[in-house]
Amino acid sequence: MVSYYLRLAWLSVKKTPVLSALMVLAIAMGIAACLTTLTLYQVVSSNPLADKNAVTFAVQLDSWDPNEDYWAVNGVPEQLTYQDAKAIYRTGNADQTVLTSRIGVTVEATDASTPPKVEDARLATRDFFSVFDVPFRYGGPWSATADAHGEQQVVISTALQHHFFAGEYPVGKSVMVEGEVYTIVGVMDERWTMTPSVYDLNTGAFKEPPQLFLPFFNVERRPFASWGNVVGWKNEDVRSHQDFLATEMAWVQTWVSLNTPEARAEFEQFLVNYIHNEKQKGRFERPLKYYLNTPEQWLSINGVVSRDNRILVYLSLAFLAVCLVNAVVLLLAKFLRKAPEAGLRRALGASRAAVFVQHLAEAAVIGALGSALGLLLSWFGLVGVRSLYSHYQEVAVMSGFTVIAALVFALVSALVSGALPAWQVSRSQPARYLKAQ
Amino acid sequence: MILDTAPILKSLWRSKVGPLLIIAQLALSIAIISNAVFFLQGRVDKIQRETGADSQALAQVWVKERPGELLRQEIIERDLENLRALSGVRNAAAIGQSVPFSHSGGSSGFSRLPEGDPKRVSKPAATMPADHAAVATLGLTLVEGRSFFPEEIDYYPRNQRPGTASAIITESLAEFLFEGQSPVGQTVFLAGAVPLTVVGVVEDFLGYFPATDFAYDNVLISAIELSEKVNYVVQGEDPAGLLPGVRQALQNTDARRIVKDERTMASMIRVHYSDDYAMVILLLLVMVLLVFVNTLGVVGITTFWVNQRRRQVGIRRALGATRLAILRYFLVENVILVTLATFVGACLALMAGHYFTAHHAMAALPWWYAPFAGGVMLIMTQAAAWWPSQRAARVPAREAIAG
Repeated sequence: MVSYYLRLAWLSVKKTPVLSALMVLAIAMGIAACLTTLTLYQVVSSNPLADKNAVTFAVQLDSWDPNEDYWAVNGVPEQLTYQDAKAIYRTGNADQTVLTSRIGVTVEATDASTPPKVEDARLATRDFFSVFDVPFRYGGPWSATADAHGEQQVVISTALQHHFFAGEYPVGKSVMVEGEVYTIVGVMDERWTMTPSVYDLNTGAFKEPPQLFLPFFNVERRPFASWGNVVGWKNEDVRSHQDFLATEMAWVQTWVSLNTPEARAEFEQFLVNYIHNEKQKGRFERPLKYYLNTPEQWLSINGVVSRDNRILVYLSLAFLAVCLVNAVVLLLAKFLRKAPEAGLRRALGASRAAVFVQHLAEAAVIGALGSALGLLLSWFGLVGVRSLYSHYQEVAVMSGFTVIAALVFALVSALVSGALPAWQVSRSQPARYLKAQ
Repeated sequence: MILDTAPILKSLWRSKVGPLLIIAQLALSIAIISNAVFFLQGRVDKIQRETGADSQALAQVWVKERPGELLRQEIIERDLENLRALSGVRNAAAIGQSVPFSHSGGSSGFSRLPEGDPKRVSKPAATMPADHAAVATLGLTLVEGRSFFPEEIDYYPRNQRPGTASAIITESLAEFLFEGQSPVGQTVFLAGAVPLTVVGVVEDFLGYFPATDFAYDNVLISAIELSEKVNYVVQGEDPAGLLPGVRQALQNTDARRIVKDERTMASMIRVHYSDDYAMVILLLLVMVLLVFVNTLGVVGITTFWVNQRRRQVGIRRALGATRLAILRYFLVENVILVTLATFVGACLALMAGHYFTAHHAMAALPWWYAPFAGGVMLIMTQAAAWWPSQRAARVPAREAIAG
């Protein structure tokens, strides 16, 4: 029965090729617009750390100006001062502690055989690799001792490995970073890109991963050029790098993992005690406030999903609605023109339900064709989005999500556009049309 | 009734579902288009706002000395000399940080009173350590006072910030701090602690990150830190053509220092507004597609109605109706549909506008956008209805007795 109706539907579609093509095209455009914006939205609004959302936290401490609130996010600086971050690392006792900051460094071969390059790098404690799931191609993170002492070891990207060692096994070899010799302990796999880059949302949420990681406490020894934000409120006399480390400047991004509720309670107690202690020394003059944000909260506080992303989704859904109503109008027009045929079928004994289903089948064929074409068009739509937005290169790509959404749209559009016209035509009075014939 | 409004309304009422649907489609489209035009206008205004600098003639580049080495005053002066010697370069300047549209810079609070004074009011502004050529090179317009003198520029070693310096501030900041008085010769405090003497006021220009609240509040400071890095800005007729020469001039003096990101100000501005450009294109696309889909719908439904009423048309022709009257009938029908749709669409548009104002902190949609979109839609749909209506007008009188 189904195949019979589908054959009838196909014959009817072919009978009015122009009208049918226009309907398919309209539906396809609406679906393509929605698939494009929804695919973009789905990636932009995703949480890459969803599986550890309950145990991973971005730490915020309110060490800001007693006279004025911090100007951004939730009114507390996104980053910690060096001294507070260091205290959390040394005595906070969390299951894992990530201190990290974005820097730019000059990298050279030890024999100066290639021209120096400036690269995007991160200072980080070794837990960065496990908390943010960085896969290794060779080697691994530096040791806990190297971490605590800030030894001159480095993890590099696959691209840098190719640049300096032409793909040779690089672990144990050295590169010059800012004029100092660093020993390579690991090479990141090139698959690693975190979208959005939840570990650092200060300078954009869709950026290339860093090319090098240096043990965080190298900064104890010497300054690095920050490629992130360094924010301050207090006028402090800075005469040396050690002075800088002791200031109220906030520039260290701090994450902890706390695997059990007890660990979390203990860590919070530690923070409260720590802040009280610092208050005695004249710091933390504002009311006691700290936040442990889950990755999900962190993405939301930092406004990763832009207003434009939302507006585009609304716009495309409204556009699809127009396209579907358009399809309803055209289908209705077409079905009513064929009402005499339906009347004849009814007179020959077909039930209303049968006439209804027969016409719904035609709407389904048009909906399916529209969705298939829409899926194809959305591929071009995503190419267009990538060329319009330079920072959505990794984001605007077709995925399983797009295909499933297309199937859902096909079903919905067939039902929405087909139901009303099919119902109208199924009500037609056989007598009237028979007389007219 | 010359326009046949009454019989048209009656016949529309009788068929109900079709006309209601086409009204719904048109209304929704009018609501979308009026909001989209409004968004679009906001973006275009933003992209087209004055930069306040001679942006089309500028290019910038930054250099970083070899690891462990710091820039010296002689190096910066030699670099600038080399840059000025390039053919096509009109001027060149050194800027410590906060080059307009570079997305990289620093800011601080500025006030007329020092820290500790209870009456102190402070305003954040971008800090731009700059040399004596910066005002001329960037193409800023002095409205009061003067630019820096060459001997006034203080190149200081890292971590040895001088106790004072000269400053040139933008009009917005001058107005906020001095409320109409002349700021020249007065003192402003950086971070409530470092006194700066204002020597000049320039017209507002957009700073290093124009998305901030203090986009137009910029302070040029005559003290430049000798760190490992400095920015150069060059001015010339064809900034894009200068880039290779600029790179070479800076790299020639030392092959192992870093020369990076040489680019024109125009390209930096394009990057800064790229999301807005994208939005403009997407909104335009949506509008074009909407008009297209509606045109399609109107052609389809009018064709259907014409076919459905061939007989009635034939009767009217037989009874003496002119072709023009028939044509007018279908076109007036379309006017009625679009007019009704405009009313519904205006309500929808204002509701959507209200939602965006309440939830996304956007400006309110002016009331006349929807009638305007309705007008445009009317022109487009009249054109669309013309072709099937003409076919109706050509229906011969004998159709009345056909079949």
